Amino acid sequence: MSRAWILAVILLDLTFAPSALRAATDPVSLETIARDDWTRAAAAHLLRRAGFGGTPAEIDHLLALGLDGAVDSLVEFTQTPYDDPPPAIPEALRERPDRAERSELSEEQRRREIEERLQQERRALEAVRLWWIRRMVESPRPFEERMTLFWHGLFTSGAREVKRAEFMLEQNEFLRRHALDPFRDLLVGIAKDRAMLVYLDGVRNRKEQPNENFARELMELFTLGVGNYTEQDVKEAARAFTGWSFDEDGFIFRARAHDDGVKTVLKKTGRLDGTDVIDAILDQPAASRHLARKLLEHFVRPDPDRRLVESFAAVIRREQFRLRPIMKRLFKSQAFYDPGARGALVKSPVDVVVGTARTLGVPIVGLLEAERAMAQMGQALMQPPNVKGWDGGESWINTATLYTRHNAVGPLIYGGEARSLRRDESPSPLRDRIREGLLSATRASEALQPDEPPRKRAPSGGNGASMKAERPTQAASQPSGAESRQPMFDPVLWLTERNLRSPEQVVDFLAEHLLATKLPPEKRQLLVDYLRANEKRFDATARRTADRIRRTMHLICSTPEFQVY
Amino acid sequence: MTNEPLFTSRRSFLSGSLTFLSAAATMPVFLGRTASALAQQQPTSRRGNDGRRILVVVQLAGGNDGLNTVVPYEMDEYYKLRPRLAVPKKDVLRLKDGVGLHPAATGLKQLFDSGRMAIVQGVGYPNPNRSHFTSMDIWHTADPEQRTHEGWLGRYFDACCSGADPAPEPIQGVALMTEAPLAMQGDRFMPLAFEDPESLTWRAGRRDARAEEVYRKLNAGSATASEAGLAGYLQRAALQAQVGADEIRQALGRGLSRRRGAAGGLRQRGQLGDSLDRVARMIAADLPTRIYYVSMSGFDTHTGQEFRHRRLMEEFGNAMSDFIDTLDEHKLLDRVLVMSFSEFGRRVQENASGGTDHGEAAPMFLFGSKVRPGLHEKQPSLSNLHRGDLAFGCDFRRVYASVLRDWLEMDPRKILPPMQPLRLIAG
Repeated sequence: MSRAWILAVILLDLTFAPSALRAATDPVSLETIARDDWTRAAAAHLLRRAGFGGTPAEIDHLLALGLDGAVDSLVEFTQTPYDDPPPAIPEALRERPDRAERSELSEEQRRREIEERLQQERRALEAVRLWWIRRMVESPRPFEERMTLFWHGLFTSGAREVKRAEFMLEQNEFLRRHALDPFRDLLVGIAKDRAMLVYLDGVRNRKEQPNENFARELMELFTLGVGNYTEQDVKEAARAFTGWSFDEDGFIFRARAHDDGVKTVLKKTGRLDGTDVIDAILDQPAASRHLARKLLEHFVRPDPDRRLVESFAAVIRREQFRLRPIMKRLFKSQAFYDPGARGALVKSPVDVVVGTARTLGVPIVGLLEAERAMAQMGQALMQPPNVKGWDGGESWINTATLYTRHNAVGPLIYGGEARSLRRDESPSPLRDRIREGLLSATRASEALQPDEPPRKRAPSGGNGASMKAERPTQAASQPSGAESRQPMFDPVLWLTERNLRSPEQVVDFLAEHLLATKLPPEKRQLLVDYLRANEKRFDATARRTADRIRRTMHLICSTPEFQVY
Repeated sequence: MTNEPLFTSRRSFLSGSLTFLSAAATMPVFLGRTASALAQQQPTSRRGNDGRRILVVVQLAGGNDGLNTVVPYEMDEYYKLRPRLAVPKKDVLRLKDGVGLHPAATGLKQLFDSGRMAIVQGVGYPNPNRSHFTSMDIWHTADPEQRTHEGWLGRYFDACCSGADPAPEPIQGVALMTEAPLAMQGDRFMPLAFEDPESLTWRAGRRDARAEEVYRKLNAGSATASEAGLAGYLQRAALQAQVGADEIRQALGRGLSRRRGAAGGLRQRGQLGDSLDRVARMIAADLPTRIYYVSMSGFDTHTGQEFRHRRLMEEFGNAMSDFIDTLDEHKLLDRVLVMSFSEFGRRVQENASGGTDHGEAAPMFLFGSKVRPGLHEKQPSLSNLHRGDLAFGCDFRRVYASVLRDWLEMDPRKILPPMQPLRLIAG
């Protein structure tokens, strides 16, 4: 067994070694990799990119399926049943307030009503966000969530602007339901999506006074990119989308607000409506290139070679923008598995939090804390910084985000007190308001007092989960309301299964599993020395060692190497 | 949280990491430079800013409606084009030459009246772009052609230390934002960006000193730091994070008395007020920071502008006057210049949703005791519009040029194309 493991380590080393030792991959080729290139490291890479990573057992399982089977198991996710219905939006938020009724209220009453409604909206939105995070962690169809996240970054809308949790949920479900549908369906659907109609002012786009916001972003960000359309195209396209609106049941076309005149968009002339504009856009070669680049940047590497973009764009055109075959081709391609693509992407905050949970195989009990940490790292779900979505890449990394990235992983390893929502419960509206910056910091801390349960807080005053866990002997306060405990990660099973005995073996295994790239030798040595702790006899399964192993894992997750995947 | 850093100074921290490195076979170039720079520093020399001048950039994100900020209340066209949104003549806080401030901007009025505010009217650039992102990038890079990838302040940091090793440390430029603004990113320079100072520690290390030490080493020196590409970038970012965080946490831990509002109590602060309060603390703590960058959002008033813009003007004015007064009280104002900008102004004609769409020219503001106060440049004409927008009379790069030349004492030609600087700084 131990010999087999050593052999496995050597083989692993080979997969990291220069490609001279292996069948060569062409970094710009979309041809399928050679059979020999489907290694355990390749399977782990696929699972990190198409999903959010997995446990050693999940990687073994994927490897055993072979390349085609593995890609199918991820991409053909509809064959895996999964049902986790979203939180219900409170009935009161589904209807607009009755105007006649409202007019009888005093100004004060009206203001209070609006205030109350806003708080309900925030609570509902929080519930939706946490539901999505939980899905990403728990879904047996991780690629479905990965694609939903991709589309959310591309066809983005922000809750602060949209103001209605119901619409944000609707958009999220739309993107998930159509995650692998033809691109045209996604574009038409998103143009009719209520959150989008609010976010980019489509609902205000009327014949008498066209609003160019959606038309511009449709071309600039969603489909073509700057330089592939003119200002005139934007103006005319805006006219074509006039009258696209919604009511309480969903999208409606308001014929009276629609400009029925002749327009010319991207050299196509006629009495165009929005769908015609989308078709005109998709006729442009720039559309396939734009989508190709977006997919490559998200799934393969931040700097795709022009040749790769061109050939992938050709695949996209050949497959008529149908995402299912397009993604399958990508996940089997040499470009995808090329050594230059391994560890070439910077983890998004979602990857840091969700990815680590899935890599460890633990649930996230403290969803509220996880969500807050993601926001601090610069990725508040359903609230991108702007219509461009998240810039991603190196911009995820700066002094502040690095500390949060390192700290956010702690609770998943150490366990401890955690705050979340029960299915039927929503978080404190006050906390929301603080998060939304409506209260000043001073007032917030005062106001928070009654809201904080009378429990011992970690000395940090921040996310207390990791600190609590360091004193496992301390009796946990009984979970009340939405509080519960995140389980402590137990590394013993991983180690005994593989019969890992020395600090070197343990560090090598953990680093290999937790990192997408190789740890430099001097860092490995630091971790080995830390784990050995000058003990004469190192016992990997001893209780006192388990704490050190957890800390070693956290240290590995707090390195520059951990920031990429 | 505790504000005591584990290492008392940057020097002891870095020498600690260098001890670790000496065990490695190769001395990374990157840290080698830092080490030599540290060796040159006299142990007795005063740390911090050494009394140098400080620039604070205030970004009004979303496109501030300049026309309703500095109001041309004598122009009939203004009231004609904005039947619903125009500020009534009787409400305008009058300055002079037929212009005045939005009635909610009392903070700005106070600064103007006390000679600590300069208004540059009609600022913009050729071939204006109405995309938030593109126009913001143009302001950040100071390049309407969009060929430059570095920010203008990043280039300033690159240039002011060209030839000098090491490149300026990130803490020289601090952005109170979750992401570092493009304006401050140079070819070699990377600013320090953060929103919540509480987050600048590795929590697991507080109870395990050995783990903390390993953590610091893993994120400090490594041969990786001298590599090109992503791995090197990440290693350098990790090191810079550690060094900067130690200093920042110390500075923000110190209290700072604040000016009391007119009502006697402390005014409730908004996003900008909070950011500027932190900037004031960091300035008072004498960090080596030369440039601070803060942002206030919400200016994209396509709808319901009347109410929203009033609140924005109130918050902006209050935050600015609190900040300037606080610095004044602590005898720090002579060293500080504040410059505010927005990516564009808004369309002159109001839209049907009670708002305004993206426009072109708008005023810029400078604050401090060293500004040449009052109005600069001409109020743009309302009868001679460019595509329905105010045509710019003054290129924003002329404002940048004067800040560079007369405040940061840098030849603007090293940063910008040739531009005649305005005379905005006294003396």
